[in-house]
Amino acid sequence: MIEEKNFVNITVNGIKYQENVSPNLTLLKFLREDLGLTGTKEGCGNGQCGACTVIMDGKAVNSCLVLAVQANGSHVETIEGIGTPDKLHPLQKAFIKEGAVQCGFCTPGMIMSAKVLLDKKNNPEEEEIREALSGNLCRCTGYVKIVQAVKRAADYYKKKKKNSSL
Amino acid sequence: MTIKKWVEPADLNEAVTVLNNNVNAIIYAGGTDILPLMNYGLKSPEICVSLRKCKLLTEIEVEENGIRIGSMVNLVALTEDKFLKKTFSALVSAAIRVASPQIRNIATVGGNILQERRCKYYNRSERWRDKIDSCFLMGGDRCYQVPKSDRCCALYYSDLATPLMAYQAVIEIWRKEGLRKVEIGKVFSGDGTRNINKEDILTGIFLPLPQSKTRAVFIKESIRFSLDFPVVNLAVVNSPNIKKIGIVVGAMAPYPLRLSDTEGSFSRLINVNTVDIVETLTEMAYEELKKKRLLVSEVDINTNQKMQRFKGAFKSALEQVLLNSRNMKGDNQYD
Repeated sequence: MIEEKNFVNITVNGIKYQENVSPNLTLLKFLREDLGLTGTKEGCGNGQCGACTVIMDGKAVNSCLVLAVQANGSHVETIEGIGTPDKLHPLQKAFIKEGAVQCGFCTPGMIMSAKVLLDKKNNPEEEEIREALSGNLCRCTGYVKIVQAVKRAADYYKKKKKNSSL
Repeated sequence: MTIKKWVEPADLNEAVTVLNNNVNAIIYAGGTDILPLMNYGLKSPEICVSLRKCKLLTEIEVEENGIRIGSMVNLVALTEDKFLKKTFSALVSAAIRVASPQIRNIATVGGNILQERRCKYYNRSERWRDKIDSCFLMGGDRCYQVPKSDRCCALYYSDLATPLMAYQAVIEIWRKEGLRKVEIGKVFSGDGTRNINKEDILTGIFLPLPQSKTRAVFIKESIRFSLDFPVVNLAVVNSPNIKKIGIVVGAMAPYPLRLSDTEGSFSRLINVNTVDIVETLTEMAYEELKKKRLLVSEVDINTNQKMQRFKGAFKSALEQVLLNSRNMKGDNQYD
């Protein structure tokens, strides 16, 4: 049987991509190899480590467990889409300030998972932060600093909200 | 991976036709269970039939006598549904404990029920498995987990099937001849296989409304809190109005186990005080499970430890459903 490609229409970081893709192509490979967005990392490749976490239609997903054809019609956000070196996202700033990055391999996935939480709720409890990050593993075991960083970013949003309501 | 064709039919008849006409066609739901199996070379489908465009399968609908959950509803939707939270709290508790937030956003109810059984010798990379002879699941003639067994003894680790069975859920199966409804317990046969053909489509699950004042609890014991399969899971559903209790245990056999002897004894203990009921039923359940469980070798835990974890969890679940049902309102929103 000859492989049949599928036409997909996926919006990544606000840019619409229309391509014919193999049905075997994962969203992770589509992002990294077709689009060159290598900020999303491949760890285990089986949904156990969360290094490949991206946001698809507002929800955190393991891009290694999603086929590109499944993402057809979706809006995907990757680490490249949330900040730039000149203008970092508050979560990225908080990770730097708190020293929450050790080897850094899990960081993009951690930030994407945390972003989903903070987009929904800007004053999460520590338990909620830990739950939101429960699908992301850090082999350097730097969880304390990571949780602190998410709290710091949450504080930033709280202050921003308070100031805008004044 | 070996997928050659991806199809997304809009109606079930079209999906059934594709499945019937192609030996190497499979139903692809969320993919969180099958994709790692494909990566390991354990599954090699050529055609994947996605059901995400079949509207009937993607909705949760409250009906007169219960609630119908489409098989393509994802687990996070299950945990957010207000009616389910109020009326079928044990099911929602189970869904919250599945894997990780990322997986729950994609994984489906149908996929969770029909997930592959797992074994520490089978769920391995191709290179690792190359070093050992094929087991029953791989078309060979042995079971590494239970060497004397004449069949595969891989355990079934679904978290959802346990409470669904305790709630007496009914499964809807669509096949060429039409829709068939069966009790969820009947989907699993004693040898670990499923009474559902490759061409059949699990379209949904119907949960009948529980009796007034029903209390239900789901407990999952695992080594890690998140991203882990259960060491043991259990659901206890107590319906005091009809003096019935439902007890189902998972991850102890190739299918969910109903502790029917213990369930039957419950009605005889109605006039006994709650503390004594808890003690007596815990001992009975422990003994019944000891007879029904399958002794297999697993990673990081032995059978004795599993049984002890069961005992503690079961006692706690009983206390919750019995004490609460005597002092508090039930789960049912109509209480």
